[in-house]
Amino acid sequence: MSRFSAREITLVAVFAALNVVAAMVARYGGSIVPFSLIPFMAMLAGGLLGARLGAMSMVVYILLGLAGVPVFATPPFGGPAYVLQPTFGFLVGFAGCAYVVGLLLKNRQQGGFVPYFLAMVAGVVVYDLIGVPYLYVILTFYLGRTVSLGQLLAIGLTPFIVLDLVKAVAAAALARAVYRRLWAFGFGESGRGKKPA
Amino acid sequence: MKMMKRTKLGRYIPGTSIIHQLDPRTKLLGWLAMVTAILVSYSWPVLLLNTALIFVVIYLAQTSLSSVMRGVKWLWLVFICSFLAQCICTQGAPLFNLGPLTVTVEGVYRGLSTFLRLLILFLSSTILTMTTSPMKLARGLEALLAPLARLGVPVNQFAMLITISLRFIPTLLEEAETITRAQKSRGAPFTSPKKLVRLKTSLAVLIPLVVGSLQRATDLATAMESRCYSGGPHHSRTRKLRFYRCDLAALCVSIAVSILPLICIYGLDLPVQSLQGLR
Repeated sequence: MSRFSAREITLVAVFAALNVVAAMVARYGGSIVPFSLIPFMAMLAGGLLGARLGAMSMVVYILLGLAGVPVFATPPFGGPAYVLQPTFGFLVGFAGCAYVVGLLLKNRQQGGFVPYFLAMVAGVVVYDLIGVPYLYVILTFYLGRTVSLGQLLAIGLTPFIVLDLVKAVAAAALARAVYRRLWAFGFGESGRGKKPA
Repeated sequence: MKMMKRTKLGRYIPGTSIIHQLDPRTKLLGWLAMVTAILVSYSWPVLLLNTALIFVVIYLAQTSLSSVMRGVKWLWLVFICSFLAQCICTQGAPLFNLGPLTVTVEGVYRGLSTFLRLLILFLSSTILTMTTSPMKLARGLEALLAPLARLGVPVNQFAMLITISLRFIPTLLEEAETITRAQKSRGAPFTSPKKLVRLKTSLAVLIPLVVGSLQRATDLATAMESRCYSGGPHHSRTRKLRFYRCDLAALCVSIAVSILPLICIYGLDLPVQSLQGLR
């Protein structure tokens, strides 16, 4: 790990806080299905902050939660026991997702919608690749349930895949719009030097 | 205000009790000892001792038991489900039959121990965050992780990261609520049954929020830079952490209750044995 400048610290910290708020906004929506804006925020973090800082902001968010602050989207909302939650793998996946999105978008922020969208889809693939096996491991070895591949996908993947793609579209559009606007206001040059994103 | 109410669980409640006054490092170490103990061992003495200790701590912290338990409300369902699943699915000597299902002795034991472990895990982290302000918690973590700085891990900067994001959570929540109200007054369908519509409405809150918080981040960075913040280990603090005698006493108690039984019962090869005991 290398050192961070004051600017990088504040950006990462604020994005971690944004994740918390996003988790609560979705909770506020009062849905029963764990419908969460966190994947959206992870893609956005990767798109806006870049690979290193984006992944860092997700890691800080996860650490906040594991330290006991009630920041996650499903009960018990926080604490070290959350590691044993079947959905914890997705949280880990989100850090990877932010990293991959940031990596793919490096030096391409000025591009059109398509590179953005493809990067976000790659992000979705990354967190599903980490999250679904984790779900399987927890279900099988901790909760002692046997699930077939079909059931597993029915629990963890198929109900969400369409919404995830919608989120990817939204994240791509939003990241691009915000980035361009920030660039226009000189945020990129004064703020983050030659490492935009 | 609904949003605020729901986040109350585990939130810091200022107080002057002995638990509040303990050094955050002591509390973190005690919490770590307890969590390690119950994660490593399934045996009854360990579980019961730790349960007793956590209730003593809750009593000493002068927080009402109901306010701590309110958080557990959500968890009862999880507890009961896991208890029932363990009762029915575990093989062993049958206790009684319930229609086609057989409840076994081992199942009941295992269900109860899982229940106690979850309860301790939950209560210990709740009481930790209820009696320690987030800032103190971050400082305690920083102090405990300081040795890692020798390995090149930027511990100070990490603590600063955590502190800033903790500081920003209430601010951003407030801002989110303001924006939500503003959108509501313009007729935004927040409670639509359609997921897609709800996603869209959430986005209408998130976009101004993201832009606003990036703005805040740059403002704060400018403020820090103009005060020459460099993130080194040498910056001074307004208040230093002090380790008093009662901290030492508390640490001794927590080691005696959480760690010693582990060593006494199992010797050194405990994880393997306890797992075998479970099977």
